[in-house]
This record gives sequence, C-alpha cells and structure tokens, in this order.
Amino acid sequence: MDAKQYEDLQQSLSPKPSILKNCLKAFFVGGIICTIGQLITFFYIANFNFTEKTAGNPTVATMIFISMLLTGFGLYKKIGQFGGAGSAVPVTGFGNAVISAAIEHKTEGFVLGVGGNIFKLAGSVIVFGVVSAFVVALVKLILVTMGVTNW
Amino acid sequence: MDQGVLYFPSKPAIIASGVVAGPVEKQSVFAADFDMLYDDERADEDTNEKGHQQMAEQACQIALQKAKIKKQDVDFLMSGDLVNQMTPSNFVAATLGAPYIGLFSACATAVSGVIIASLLTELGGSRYALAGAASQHNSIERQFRYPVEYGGQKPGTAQWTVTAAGYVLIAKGQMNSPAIEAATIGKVIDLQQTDPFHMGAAMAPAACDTITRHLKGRGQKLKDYDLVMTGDLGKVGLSILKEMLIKEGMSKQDVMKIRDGGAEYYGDDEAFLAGASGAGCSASVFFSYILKQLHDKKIERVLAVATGALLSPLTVQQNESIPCTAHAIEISMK
Amino acid sequence: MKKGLLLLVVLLLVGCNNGKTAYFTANEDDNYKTERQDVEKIVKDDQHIKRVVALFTKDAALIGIEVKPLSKWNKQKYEKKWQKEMEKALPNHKVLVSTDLKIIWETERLAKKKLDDEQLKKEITKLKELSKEET
Repeated sequence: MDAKQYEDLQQSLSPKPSILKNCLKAFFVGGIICTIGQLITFFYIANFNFTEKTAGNPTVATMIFISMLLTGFGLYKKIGQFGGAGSAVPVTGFGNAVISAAIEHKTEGFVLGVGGNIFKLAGSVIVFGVVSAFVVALVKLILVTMGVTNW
Repeated sequence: MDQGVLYFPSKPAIIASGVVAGPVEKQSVFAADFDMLYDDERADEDTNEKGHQQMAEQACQIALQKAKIKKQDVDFLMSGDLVNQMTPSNFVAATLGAPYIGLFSACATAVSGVIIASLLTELGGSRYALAGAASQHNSIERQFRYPVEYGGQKPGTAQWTVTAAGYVLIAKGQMNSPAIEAATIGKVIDLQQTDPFHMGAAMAPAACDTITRHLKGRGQKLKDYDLVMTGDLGKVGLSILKEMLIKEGMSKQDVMKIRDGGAEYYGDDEAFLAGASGAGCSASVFFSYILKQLHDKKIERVLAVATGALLSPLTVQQNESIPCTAHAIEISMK
Repeated sequence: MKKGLLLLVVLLLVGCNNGKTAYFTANEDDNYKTERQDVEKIVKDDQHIKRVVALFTKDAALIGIEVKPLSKWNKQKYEKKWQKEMEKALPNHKVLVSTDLKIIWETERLAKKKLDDEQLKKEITKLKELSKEET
C-alpha cells in the first residue's frame, strides 16, 4: 500500500471532529469567561475609584489570578478540553500557558528551569504581538505622512 | 530465512513478572492483574523522572521476589523508556547492578527487550535476564507534547500515556512457565503520517507488516492463536489495522478477534479519548493480563505485538513524518 | 439537560427585563431649573442616549450620559459632540460631559444625596480629576 492509499484508508476510519459542536462549545466557554470578566469590571467600578477606562488593569490581573488557581488545581485543562479556543483565546488562556510551563519546570530550579522556560508556549504570542504592533504603527505612519489619515 | 523472524528451539521461559501502575491506572480494566498500584503519580518522589525510575525499580524487584532470585544473580537487564537518553532506565540499571544495554523502540521497547533477552538465553549466555519497560505520564507528556496543565484541546484520536512499569524474568526453558517460541523484529514502516495526536494511524502499518511476516515465516494463520493482541494502537488504530489485514487476504472472522491493550485499557471512558499508550502500556498489559491467561490455561498460544512510534518533538516541529515499528513475540504454554 | 435549558430561559428573561429607570436625573435645586431645561432640550430626542444624570452648581456642571449599547462604537465621537453642545448651552458654567460608567454612577449617587453647593463643588472637582486618569 502506498502513502496516498493509506491516507485515504486512515481518513475513512478516523473520527472527524464536529466543527459545529466545537464552535458552539468554544462560543459558550469563551462567552462565559468574558461575562465573568465584565462582572469583575463592574465590581471594580462600583466599589473602587476606577473608571471604565482604568478598570481594565485590575480586571485582567484578577482574571489571570483566577486562571492561575484553576491551572494549579488541574481544572483549567478540563475546561480547555471542552472549550478549545474558547478557553485558549481570552487572557486566561495566555495565563494558563505561562503558568503551566512554570509549574512544569520547577524541578530544574528557578533561574534556568522556571525563568528559562516560562514563556515556552507564550513566547510566540509576545514576539508576534510586538512585531505586528510595529508593522501596524509603521503603516499608520506612512498613511499619516501621505496625508490619508490623522493620528 | 524469513526477514526478521526468529525461532527459539530451547523455548526460553518467562518465570516471573512484575507490573506496577500509578493512581490513574486504578481505573483500568486490567488493574486487578497488576502487582502494585501507587497512590501518587510520582511515587512520592521529588520529580516525575525519579518517580518513573522508582516504579521501574519496583517492578523489577517484584519479579525477582516472585522468582526468589537475588539481584546479583541477574545476568542481563534489557530496558528502555521514552525520556531523553532513557535516563530513568539508566538509573534503574545502576541500582540493580546487572550488565545493561539500553534499548529504544518507543512503546514497543518492552517486547524488544524480551526478544533480546530470549536470544541471550537461547545462546546459553544468560541464566536470568530481566526485560521490560516503563512510562510515566507527566515526564512523557512534557517530553513530547505540552506542559501537563496546559489547556490545549486534544482530538478524539489522541491517546493517554500510562504511568506503569512491566518487567519479566527470562530463564532457560522449563515446565509450567509460559515459553517464548518465536519472535519477529519489526521493520520501520513510514507511510507519511504526520499527526502526533493520531499515533494509531502511524503505527497500524507497522503492526500489519510484522504480523504478516511472522505468520508467513512461521507458516501459521491467525486462527492458530488463541489470542492476538497489539500493544497500544488505540481504538482507531486497531480498526485501521483490521482493515489492512482483511485487505491482505486474512479471514475477516479471525481478524475481528484481534484485541489491543491500549484500546481496552480504560474501558469506554471518553476522557481517555482513543485509549492508552506509552512504553508501560504494552508492558503492563502483556506481562500481567496475558501471562495470567496463560497460567490459568485460558489460552495456550498468544501473539503479542507491541507497536512504537519513533518520533521526537523536533521531528514534529520540522513537519517530518512518523516512522513506526512493531515487535512481536509468540508465547505458548503447554 | 432539561434543568440547564430552564435555567437559561429564566436567566434570559431576567436579563431582558430592564426595569423602569428615570430618563433624566439631576440634583433637586430650584436655582438650576433653566440649566436643567437647556440640557433636557439637547438630550431629548437623541436616539443614542439611554439616560442622563446631571449635577449643577453655581458655575460648574457635570453631565453623565449613558449611551445605548449599540451606539457604544462611536461613544467618544458623541461625547465630543455633546461636550460642545453643552458648553454652548451653558456659557456661564464649566461643563464636563462624560460617557464613562463610573462618572455616571457617581453623579447619580450625588444627585440623589441632596448636598449643598460647597460640598457639590468639591465632589465635582474630584470626579473631573477621576475622569482624566489614564491608567
């Protein structure tokens, strides 16, 4: 049997992921996480001197704290298996990536182990986030210089 | 001579076995046949790798205790695992103090160890040889995939690496012990499968090749065996293997009776997706369940085929395919 | 499954019930009737406004405008427009228009409290400082 024939055979017998069901699950999980975030924002606006503009910071910090607890207790991976992108995309997913790597590498010490590996998964997010921000700013600079838009 | 098929006229015997497993494996359908179950995934050690080593050592000790053999009398240790440079096995060898060569066939390591040990016994070079393998979920997930607590979504074809160790003691042919009559060493088969979350599809062709070569070399048919069991193809991989064997012209009735240790390991629990895998999977199932069935005279002749995926995390990142192998041993009990 | 569906329906119904809240809330003071009417004229028929809260003192005015959810995309643009209109309508006052939820809630709380001019001036200054914060 050659590779192409085998691929066809393998495909016909392997279970396919249900894209619609996965999208719905991701929608609900992501939605619930974001709703909880919004409730936390309202909590900070109502009880402390934060405006809508400034309440973003403590909200993100709180969400990451919650994600840390869930990751440490082994619950986040269960949410992740169910929700897929719904739990990976919000900032809690970023927190989970960083925290799980930190937990994993504690056995190699804090400097080389935790310090060196903590961004194993999240590193690309940071690198490409910074690179794309730079590119977008460059594009806007060109457009503003040409007079097409304003800052 | 049929490529890769070996015969053992003196019928080296498996005189004892030791199988241990971790807390998650308590849910296994095979748990009742394991010798010891740990309550802690790391066997109460500081690191996962130390726990891995501790379990392998314990399995060896149990086998030696059962046979009433002292570790000084062990002529050879054949072992391996999935951690880089197989360091847990290296440390076990240091503790045991037996002459040792590390082996790597991924999840087929245990059976490859039994084959080499049987050869050494057949040649008269070994009186007692320990052979087996182990795996530990956390150390191997970390080695090959993502940090254990990472919330990535695994597809339905992914498998769960077991925390288990299985070792057997091979000695000269003797009565009332399961004997190794023949074996087939696997060829590396690569049909360009690239998905590390679908090992079953990568390994099935290797299992098909080994089974076909063994039967041809021995002049046997599937129905000559009371049980044909693969190591860890998983639920999906097993169905692919069955399709392939039927296409090879084997009788559908016999092919459907083929079982897989990984597919049955955790029963129908969906949390374990397509089933169990890992070097400890074939080792724990073959060296407990199958040996017990032989001892209880429920079966007389069995073909145990362990499968292994010979990939590394680097080859996955480099988009390489996953070459696989499968080693088979024919065990009989009169 | 059935219980989950029931819970979902109940939550949806509760969420959709907005309750009757006043369209315009301001501090009760007869001195500022004209100012109040001026502001009301501007906000009366605006499609984007959900409700308005206002605080008036002798020479300052703090107006909080809550924008309807769908119009939130252009919140900043409307805020600038209303700021200009309010400044034109109340030339003798130092006006601040804000669409920020915190300012609106605080303004509403103060309007209901019935403070005198001096205290109100202090509170308004505090709120103006708060609205300028960036982090």
